This record gives sequence, structure tokens and C-alpha cells, in this order.
Amino acid sequence: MEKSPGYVWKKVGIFALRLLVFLFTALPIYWMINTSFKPEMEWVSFPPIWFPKELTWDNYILLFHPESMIEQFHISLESAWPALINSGVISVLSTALCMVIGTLCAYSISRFRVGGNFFPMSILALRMFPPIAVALPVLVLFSTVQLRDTYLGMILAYACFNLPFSVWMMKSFIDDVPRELEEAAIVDGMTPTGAMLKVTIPLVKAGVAATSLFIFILCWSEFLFAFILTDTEVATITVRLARYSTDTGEMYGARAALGVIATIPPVVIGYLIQNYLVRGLTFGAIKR
Amino acid sequence: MDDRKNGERGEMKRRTFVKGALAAGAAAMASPMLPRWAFGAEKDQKTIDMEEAAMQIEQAYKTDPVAMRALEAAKTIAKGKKDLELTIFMPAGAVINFMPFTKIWEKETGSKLKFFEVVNVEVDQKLMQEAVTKSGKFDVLPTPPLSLVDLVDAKLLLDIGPLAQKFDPELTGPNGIVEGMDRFTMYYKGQLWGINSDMDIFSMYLRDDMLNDPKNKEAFQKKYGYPLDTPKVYKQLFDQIKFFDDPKAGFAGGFAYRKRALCWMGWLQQFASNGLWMFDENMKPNIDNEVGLKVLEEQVEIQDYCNYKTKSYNWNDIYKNFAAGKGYTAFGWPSLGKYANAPNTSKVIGKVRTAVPCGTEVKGTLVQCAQASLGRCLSVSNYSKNPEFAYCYIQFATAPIVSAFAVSKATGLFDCYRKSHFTNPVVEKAYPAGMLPVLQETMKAAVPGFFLRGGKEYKDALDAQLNAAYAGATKPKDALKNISEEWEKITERQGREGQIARWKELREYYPAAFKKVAG
Amino acid sequence: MWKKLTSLPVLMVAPVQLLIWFMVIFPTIVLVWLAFCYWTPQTGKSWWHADWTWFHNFYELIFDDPRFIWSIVRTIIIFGVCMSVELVAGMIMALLFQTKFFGKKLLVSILIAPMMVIPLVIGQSFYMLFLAQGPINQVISWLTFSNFQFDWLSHPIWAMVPIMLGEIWNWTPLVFLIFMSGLTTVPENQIRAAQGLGATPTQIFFRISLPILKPLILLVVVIRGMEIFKIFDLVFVLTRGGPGNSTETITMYMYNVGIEYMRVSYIAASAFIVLALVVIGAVRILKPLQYQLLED
Repeated sequence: MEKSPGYVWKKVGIFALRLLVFLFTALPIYWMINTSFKPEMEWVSFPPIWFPKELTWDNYILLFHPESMIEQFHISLESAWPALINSGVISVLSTALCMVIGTLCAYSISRFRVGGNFFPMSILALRMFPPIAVALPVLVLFSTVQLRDTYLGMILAYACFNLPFSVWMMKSFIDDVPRELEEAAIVDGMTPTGAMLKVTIPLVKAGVAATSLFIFILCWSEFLFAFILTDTEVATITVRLARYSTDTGEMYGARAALGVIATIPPVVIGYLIQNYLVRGLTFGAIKR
Repeated sequence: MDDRKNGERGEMKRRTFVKGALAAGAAAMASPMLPRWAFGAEKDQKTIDMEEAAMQIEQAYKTDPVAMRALEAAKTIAKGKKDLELTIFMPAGAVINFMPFTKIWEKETGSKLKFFEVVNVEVDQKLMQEAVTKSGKFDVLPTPPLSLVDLVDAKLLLDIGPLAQKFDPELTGPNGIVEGMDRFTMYYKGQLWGINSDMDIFSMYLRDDMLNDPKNKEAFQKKYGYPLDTPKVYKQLFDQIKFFDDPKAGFAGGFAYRKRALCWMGWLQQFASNGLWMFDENMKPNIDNEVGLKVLEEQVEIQDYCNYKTKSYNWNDIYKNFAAGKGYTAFGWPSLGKYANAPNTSKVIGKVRTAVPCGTEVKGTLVQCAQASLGRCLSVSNYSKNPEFAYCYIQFATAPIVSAFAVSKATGLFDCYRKSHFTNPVVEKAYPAGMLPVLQETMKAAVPGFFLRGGKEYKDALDAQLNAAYAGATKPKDALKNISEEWEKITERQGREGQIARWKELREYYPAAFKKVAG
Repeated sequence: MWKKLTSLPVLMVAPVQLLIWFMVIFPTIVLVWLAFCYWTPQTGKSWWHADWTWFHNFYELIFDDPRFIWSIVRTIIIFGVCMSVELVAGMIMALLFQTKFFGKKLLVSILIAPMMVIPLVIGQSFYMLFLAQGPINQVISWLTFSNFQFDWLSHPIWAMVPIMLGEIWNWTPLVFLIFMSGLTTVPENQIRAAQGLGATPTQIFFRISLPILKPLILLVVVIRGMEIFKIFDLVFVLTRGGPGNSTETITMYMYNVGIEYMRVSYIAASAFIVLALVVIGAVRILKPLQYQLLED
């Protein structure tokens, strides 16, 4: 190919643009990690410090051994460990619940067209509901039945609002499996349920894994419901992140440290399922 | 073919990465279980100080009859009850005021104390949620006076009048709570809803060394034509701020509260000092007039000489900068005095002069007003499972001598509220020399805030519009008009009759000079 | 009839139905009740004894509450700006990363990481970046050779920038991924034919690729739009509604008035107004997409 003089500029330009995109993407993440290793004096210094002059694990220690928090920051918080556990428990259990009932429903919609067109679209419409609107009566109702600030309440809430993803994602995976396989199994003597469990589900194993992990990420990152519906017992990690501000100044370092720790699971999981991300986030409409 | 190989390699890479990540994760998870010493921590001066303070209170609390009465009652209740626990809901930063005597309480009664803290701005929201959910999770609540009426109406607080009669926390008398201010922070509808644990009032803090400097005195007299001294009226204060502002040297003339949720205090204080009621007898807003406009315009003008022109200073930033000696004056709560007097936070120890906030001359009388809308009283939750036990804790924590230790904590949020605090040696050590008598004078000039139903909404409406005016997004005249409209809507919604009655009650507590001028 | 109800297909969707009824339908009924009443905790009564006030809340919201109307307008503005930038940036990124180059796989993996970061954490990170003494101002100072110390988050208008940037940073990778896979579906022979006829790359892009990507663009707009409308985490951490109320989005407004003041019935009414707006908007765009979503 002839290398015109414009060719080099074009290459340099494209490289520069790619670099710019990379920097833009990396900056907030880098700053978060950066701050989490800085000692208190360097958190919001001027001029901003791009690489800590004094690398320290103090912020991470503070998260899990908050005894010095009272004297230093005048706030008494317990260790962040329970918050991590709460997030984990709630996310895992609500993902499980959401997946089980969602897959059943998706199978029914896919094979039997239950509810015609209205039912699946109405599930999608769940995502249009401003969650704060539902959170208010749910707050009132949950308090009446003593479900507020409990594991069960949070699990039910999360399972419900991630149904659109589980139903639609699984529907798109199940749609990919030809009906003939099940029909052949039924002809061979299996019950319809048996056919579903022994034939279809194993074939969408990858889809189940991807959808589960995807919903796990959503539950883990959710903030509004957790903030309104929890107090002391089941505060999740997002609620915990919001509590590291005191009147004597934000605890930037501790928040950054907890932010880094809290973000690692979703990012790792996202990396594992990156091939299915598009399908998930577009409710199965686009198969990559 | 190539793609498949790439895919496989990708799979392998992915697997090893996951293995490595899992290993790192396991190591990270194990770390919290290592003891603190594993990281090489050691006791610092702060811990030693905390232990020293605790030792002093060990002897002192026994000499406090109010505290001992509460303790005895608590011990009787706690006898035989295992796992008795009190949950105390506090704004972040307040727990340090309770630290000196938490261990004493726990030891004496054999029960545990749990603290639940949230950031100050979220306290009201959590209290309201508790009113709705009625979970009974909290026993002791930090009721701010702005929400007192709302919380009582929402049936969240327990009327502790009968319990106070039984155990006598000495609310009146020589050790009693400062009069005037106690009525609008603890009482509503004639009933007692909490015991004060913190009284916040604005004082004026000035740099004594700069005021005494003869060079400054000469230059100021030459420029403004009157001697340099503690300002008595706002005009003098603003002149001084402009005089001392030195951007090149990084020295701010003053510090003003311009962050959202803090803007309303300065304006309200200055407005009140003009001798005008903010509402008339029928609860119609009275701020959209030339006085309100003049005050707002002056406040906007002085911004250029404050805070190095930034508007995002939270109150703790103002504290830090004033105590670092980087500004001439600030309005602040008594905690600023403690902050500026503590060795590990302040560079201006001994250089701070406090004064009653300046005022305005109206019809020949000097009206000085100090904004006193904040503070806290400890209340018992209506849904608490151990109301009497919780009350005993409140009485113990606010007893004259025990509370002196709480109040004297240099970095805590709580300030003097009992008359006995002003002469208590422990408290005197914490505050700058000569500040306590001034503080007592200041409390006589206290102006109540929006202690009505929907008090927070009035305050927020005022604050939001002022914040917009300070940021330059709204013109002052429009801001005042908007505020009046908002206030009218709130009054209508909350029930005008009830508001008129409560406002009539609150008017009684305005300072004497104000009432003389306002009529 | 009974046989139909207990048939396998219906039983399979029963759990989902139950959950939706419990968590959504029933609270919505309560919401309807509240929207037509006046109730706050300060009234001292339980919510089922609240006073019925007919359409008072709706009237007040639409005609007497500029703060509410402005929050809707602001949210629409955020949607418009963020959506446009995300589409353009996503497309540019897809074009940039079309060809293979060294380290492409690794770079793409890093580029899609922002989608996975917790929105709250993004908010906190951007808060630190946009402080007056923070790195963004420093970079701008370097580029303009001045001392740029602007306080982004305290300015009524410019405080929107960190919020929108946070949202864009969070979700442009999704648009990028979708377009990247979409570009591979553009038929090769059409491009080659056009090249043979002497078309420039720009013409090829706008005349061939873009029309093929149109349904994808529409899909992205609807799906992201639904989520942007509910933006909350970023606003909450960065500005809480901003200086005054100038960065209040719909959800932030409903939080401030509904949870801070506990004006529950008022916010219930506002929820319905918002829902009506969203449904009308979504139905008009979703109808043509319905077939594509369901026939796949």
C-alpha cells in the first residue's frame, strides 16, 4: 500500500485518540486506587498528588479495625466486614431467587407464549418504574409487617426489580435452543418438566451462569433501596460507603479504600462474563 | 483455527487470572482477622489523653447527686436482666462526647451501650423514618429543636415529664439549664420532651492579636475614621473584614457560611438584629422588604472578602482555617472556641477574642442577636423497649458534673448548657480564657429559629433561596419573594391556626432589647 | 378453566406473578390511595386513616410546584445531553477500535470496566476529581497556562458537568460494545462496492453503516433512557440536589421531599405523574421495537 504523507499523521492521530480514550477511562479508577493508599494529609492536598508520597495501608486497616476512628475522625463505625457479608448474602440469595423464578417464567414465555405480548412487556415495564416511588409505600408496608431492615425484605425487593433482566435474558438464551430437542425428549417418554430440566437447562448453562453473575452485579451495586430500607442490621456495602462522612470532613481515604474493595467483585465478574454483557444490558435484544 | 487457539489461550489466561485473584482475595479476607498489633500500631498521645480524662471522671461523678440518683435507679432496673442494651442514635462526631463516661455506665449497670451514628444531614431523615417504621430500634434519640415539634406530633418521643418529676434532673435552679433557651428546645405544649445535651449559639470570634496591634489600629483609624475595636454593629464588622482581607498573603478577612444547609444562619441573625419579626402575628412572612433586601445585599457583598472567595466551605473547613490562623473573624458555635484552644488543632491559642455577635442600631438601641437554632436534646423514643432505663441514661449523661466532662471534650460537638458549666474548672480549661462569661452574655441574646411545625421546611426554603442568591443564580429581590411564597405555602399546609399559636409562644423568648424595639 | 390455570405453563409463571403482586402491584395500590390523600407522619394518624383530598396533590404538583417541574426538565436535559454524547462517543470509539491492533483485547477489556463500577463509587471518585483543588482543575490549568481553581460542585450550572460526565463515563462502554458488534454486521460487499465506486470513508459511514445501525441506536436510546431517567446515585453523592435545587433530578426531588420531609402522599402523586410521562414516552418509541424484541 502506498504510504501517503497523510498516512503517518492518520496513524498518529488514531493512536492519540485511542490513548485519550484510555486515559479518560482510567482516570477515575486510578484516582480511587491512588487515594486509597494515601495518608490523611495527602487526600485533598493542593496541588493534587498523583502518586502517594507515602504509600500506606492505613485506610484499609481503618476499614476493618476502626478503633482509632473515634479519636481521629470522631465517628464510631463498626468494621466494614459485616457490610461486605450483608451485601454478599443479599446479592447471592436474591440472585438465586430471581434466577429460579425468572428462568421458569422465561421458559414458559418462550415455549408456551403465556400472556401473549402483554405479559413480557409488562415485566420490562418494571424497569420504568421510578424505584423511589415504590420505595415509599414499600417502606410503609414493610414497617407494618416488620420486614424492614431484614434480609428477607431486601432479598424480595432485589429479586423483584431484577426480574426483567432474568426473564428477558433467559428467554433469549432459551429461544436459542431449538424446540425440536424437547419435543424429541417428550416423544421418548419424558414429562414436559423433565424435558425442561434434563434437556434445555443444561444447554443454557452458560446463559444461566452469565445471567446470574449479571444480576449479582446489579444487586451488589444497588443503592437507593438499600439506603431507604436498611438501618443497622443489614446495611449493605453501598450504604456503608455513604456513611463515611463526618462533620469534620469526608474520610476520602477510607471511602476510596472501601470503594476499591467493593468494586473488585463486580469488575472481576464483569470481566468473566464480558461476552454476555451486551445481551444482558439490552434485555436479550442484541446477541453478540 | 487461529481464533480457536486464541480462544483457548484466552480461556487459560482467564483461568489463571481468576485463580490468582481468588488467592489474593483469600489473603485480603484473612487480614481483618489479624490483630491490630500485627500492623505495628502503638498508643498515641490522643489515646493517652483519653485515658487520663477518664481517670478524672472516675472520682468526680460520685459527687454528682443527679447522676447518682439516675445510676441507682438504673442499677435497680438492670438487676437480674441479662443482655440489657441501649441503642443511642447520635450524629456523627457526637459519640466522642459520650466516651468519658460510657465505660462507667456499662460497668455500674452491667449493660451495654450501642452507638448508631449517621452524618448530621441525615439525622432528621432517619428520625422521620423511625417515626414511620416504629421499629423501636433506638432508645435514645438526638432531637434537634428544629424538628422537636414535628417529632412530637409524629408521636416519636416519649413525654418524660413524669419521669423527670420522679428522678429530678435539676433542670432549674443554680445548676439548671440556661433559662430562655431551655423553653424552646425541650418543651412543647407544656410538656417535657427531652433534656438538653448541647446548646449551640453563634458567637463572634476575632483575632485578639490583630485587634491589639498598634500598627493596625493606626491604619484602621486613618482609613475608616473610628477606632479599631470589637465591632458592635455589622457595619463595623464588615469594615474590619475588608480591612484585614489580604488575598496575596492567603489571609481571609473573614469566614462566611455559604455551603448549602448553612447559608440561612448568618442572614437570619443579621436580619433579626434589625428588630423585625420574621413573621407577623398571622404568620405572614415579613422578610420581603427593604431591611431584608439590605441585609441580603450586604451579605452578598462581603462574600468577596471571605473564604478566599470559595463557597464550598463546610463548617469544619471554616474551623480548620480559622484555627490555623488564616482568617481574621468567624461566627461560630462555642465548639469553635474549644477548637481554637486545643493544642493539636490550633495555631492561634491565646489569640482569640470572643464577643457577643454584633448587631444593628435601631431607634437608638443596640440590638444584638445570636442565632440559636441548633443544639440537641436527648429524648426517649416512644417505641423503646426500656423507656425508664433509657431515661436514667439521659439523666446521667446530662447531670451537672458528668456533663461537664462531655462538654469539655475539645473536639466534640457538644457545648455548655447548664449554668454550672460556666464555672466548672474542667470546662474552663477547654475554652479560651475569658470566653465563658461572654458566652453567658451571648445566651441572653439568643434568637429562636423555626421551632414550628415543619420547621425544617421553612429553614430549607430559606436556605435554598439564599444559597442561590449567594451563588449568583437568583437576584436578591427575587430570592426574598420566593422565600415568602414558600413560607406561605408551608404555613397553609401545616395549619395556620396551630402555627400562629406556636409563633406567639416563641416570640416571648426573643431578647429583651429586640422586643423593646420591635414592639 | 381450572385445568388451564393449573396447567404447567401458568404454574411456571406463578412465582414471578406472586412476587410482582407483592412487591409492585400492592404497593402501587397503596401509592394510589396515598396520592389522593394528605398524609405525613406528623399528622399522628396511621396512613390508612389519612384524609382524602381528591386531586389536590396533583393540582399542586402541576400548577404550584416549579421545583417539581424544573426537576423533570432537568432530567430531560440530562437525558438529552448524556444520550447524545454517549452515542457519538460510543460510535467514535467503535470506529477507532474496529481494526485489530496490538493489545486490542486487553484494551477493550479495560475500556468496558466502567460499566461494572458501582455508581456510588463513581460518584465519590468524581467528587474528588472535581474538587476546587483537585486534578481536573490542575489539568485544565496546565492546558490553559492559568491558575484554574473553579469550584465545580458549588456552581448551580456547572455542577451538572460532573454528574453528566459520571453518567457518560459509566455507560459509554455499553454503547461502544453494541456499536462495535453492530459494525461487524455491515455487509462487506456493500462497502467494497462503494469503495470501488470511489466513495470516501466518511460517505461509506454515513450512507451505508449508519442506516444499518439505526435500530440499534433506537434500542440503546430506549434502554439507557429508562435508566438515565432514574439517575440518583451520582446526584446524591456529588451534589445532593446541588446549590439551591439546581441539580435536582426527579428521583433526587422525590427523595428530598419524600424522605427528608416525609411528605409521602405528595410524592406518591408525583410518582404517578412521572410514571405517566415515562410510559407515554416509552410506548411511542417502543412500539416499533416491540416486534424486533419479541420475534428474536
